[in-house]
Amino acid sequence: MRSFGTNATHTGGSAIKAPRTAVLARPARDRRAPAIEVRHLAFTYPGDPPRPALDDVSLEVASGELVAVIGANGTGKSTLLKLVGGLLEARSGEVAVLGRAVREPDARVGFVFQEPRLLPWRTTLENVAFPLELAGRPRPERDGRARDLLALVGAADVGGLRPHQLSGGTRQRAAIARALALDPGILLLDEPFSALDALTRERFNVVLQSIWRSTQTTILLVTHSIPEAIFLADRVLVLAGRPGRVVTEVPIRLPRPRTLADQDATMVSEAASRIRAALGAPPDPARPAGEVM
Amino acid sequence: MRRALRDFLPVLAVAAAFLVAWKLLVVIGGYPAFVLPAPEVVATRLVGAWRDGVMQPHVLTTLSEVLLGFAIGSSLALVTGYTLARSRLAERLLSPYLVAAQATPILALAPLMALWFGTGLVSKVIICALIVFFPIAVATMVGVRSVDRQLLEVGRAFRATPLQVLTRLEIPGALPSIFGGIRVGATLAVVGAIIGSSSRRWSPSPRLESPSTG
Repeated sequence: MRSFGTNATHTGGSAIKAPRTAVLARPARDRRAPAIEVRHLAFTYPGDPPRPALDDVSLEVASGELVAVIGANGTGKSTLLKLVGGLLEARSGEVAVLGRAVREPDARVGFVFQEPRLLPWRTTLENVAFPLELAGRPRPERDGRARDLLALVGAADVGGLRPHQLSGGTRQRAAIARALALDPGILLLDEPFSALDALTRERFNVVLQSIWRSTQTTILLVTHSIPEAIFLADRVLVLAGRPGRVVTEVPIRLPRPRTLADQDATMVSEAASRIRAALGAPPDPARPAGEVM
Repeated sequence: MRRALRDFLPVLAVAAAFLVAWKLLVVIGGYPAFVLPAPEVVATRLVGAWRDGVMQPHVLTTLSEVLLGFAIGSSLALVTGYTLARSRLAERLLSPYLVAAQATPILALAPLMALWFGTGLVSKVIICALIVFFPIAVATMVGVRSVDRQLLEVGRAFRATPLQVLTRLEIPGALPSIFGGIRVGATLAVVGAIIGSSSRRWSPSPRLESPSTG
C-alpha cells in the first residue's frame, strides 16, 4: 500500500495547497512499459442499426502519466474508457493494461463514473470499503483503509452518512475514494466532475491533481472541458468524428504542481485554441501531432 | 412516554370511533343480534370462548397453517421471481402457467386440494402457499429487474462474483419491492388458511354451497 496522509489535509479546506514534494521534470513519456496500451481499437455497438463508436484508435499512457481524452458527445470517449476498463470487450484491436491484455475488469484498475453510483443503502464508509469487501479483505482492514481514503479525498467527516445526505461534490469524492480502495495502478475517470458546478469543479481539479501526485497513479481522464484537460493532463488526446478517432495529441508542458492561476498563461490559451481547432476539424490521421510550444 | 402517547392517541381515537359507529348502527337500525351483533356482544363471546378453551387449539392450527404456508410459498416465490427476472427463457416458459394459476380462484381449488391431500394440515398449507406465491414472485421479479444497471456495472468494475452481485447488489436493491410483496402475501396467507378450513367437510358440504363462504 502506498502512503497517504500528508496531502490529505490539504484537500479539505477552501485553501487547497499543492503537496510539498514537488515532482520536478516529470517525463512526458516513461521509459518503462506503458501502463495503458491501445492498438488499432475499433468498437461498434451491436443493434439495428449497429452504432460504430470508435475507429482505429491507438494510444499509450506511460506509468504515472495523466492523460486527458477530450471530445464532443458521441465521439466514443466513454466507450474507450469502458474498453480499457474491461467493461466492454474489444473485438477489433488490442487493449492492454499493465502488460496484460484486457478481457475483463482488472483489480489493478479503478473506475470513476460520470455519476457517483454509490449504493444508497450503505453508508459512505461502507461504499468506499465496497471493493475491499468484494475482494474478501477482513473488516478492520476495510474500515481503516476506507477512513484513510475518505481523508485523502477530503471527506473524512462523512463516513457515517448515507449518499443521499451528501452534496453532489462529496458523493463524487467518495466515488473517487472507492476507486482508489484496491490501490490501483491505473485510475479511469469518465467525466467525473461534469455534474458539478464550475467553481466546485475547479476545486476538484486541484484535489484530483494532489491525489494523483500523492498516489502516483496513472490516470486516463475523459472530459469535455478544455480548461479541465489542460489543467490536469500531461497530454491531451482529441477524439473527433463518428465513429471517433484520435485526431490530435497536445502535450501540456506546464510545471507541476499547477495552480488555478496557471490557467491565464499564454501557453494555456494556445493549447486551448489548438484543441478547439482539432475538435472542430474533420478526422485527419495524416495531420502531424506537433507540440503547442 | 409522552411521545409514545401522542403517536398512539390517534390510533385509539379511530378505533373508538369505529366501535361507536358500529354500536350506533346496531342501536339506530335496531338489528337483531343474528344479523348484526353489537360490539360488546361479540367481545363477550370472544372472551367466553377463549376462557372455555374453545379458541386456543383452533388459533394454533390456523396459525401453524399460515406460518408454514407463508414460509413455503414465499421461499418458492423468491426463487421463482429471481429466475423470472434474470432469464427471459424462464419467463417465456413459466409465465403462462403462473398467470393461469393466478387467474384461477383459490376458492375453487380448495375442495380439490381437500380431495387430493386430505382435510388435514397439508391441503391448507398448500392453499396458503399458493395464495402467497404470486404477489411475492411478481414483486421479486419487478424488484430484481429494477435494480439500477449502473450499480450492477459498478459491481462488475470491482470484480464482484455472481454470488456477490446477488447478495450485495440485487437483493438489497430489490428489497423494498420484495417487502411490498411480502406485506400483501402475509395477509393473503391468513385468507388462504380460512379458505382451507372452510372446505374441511368437503363432500357433501352445505357450507361450501352457502353464500357465506362462496
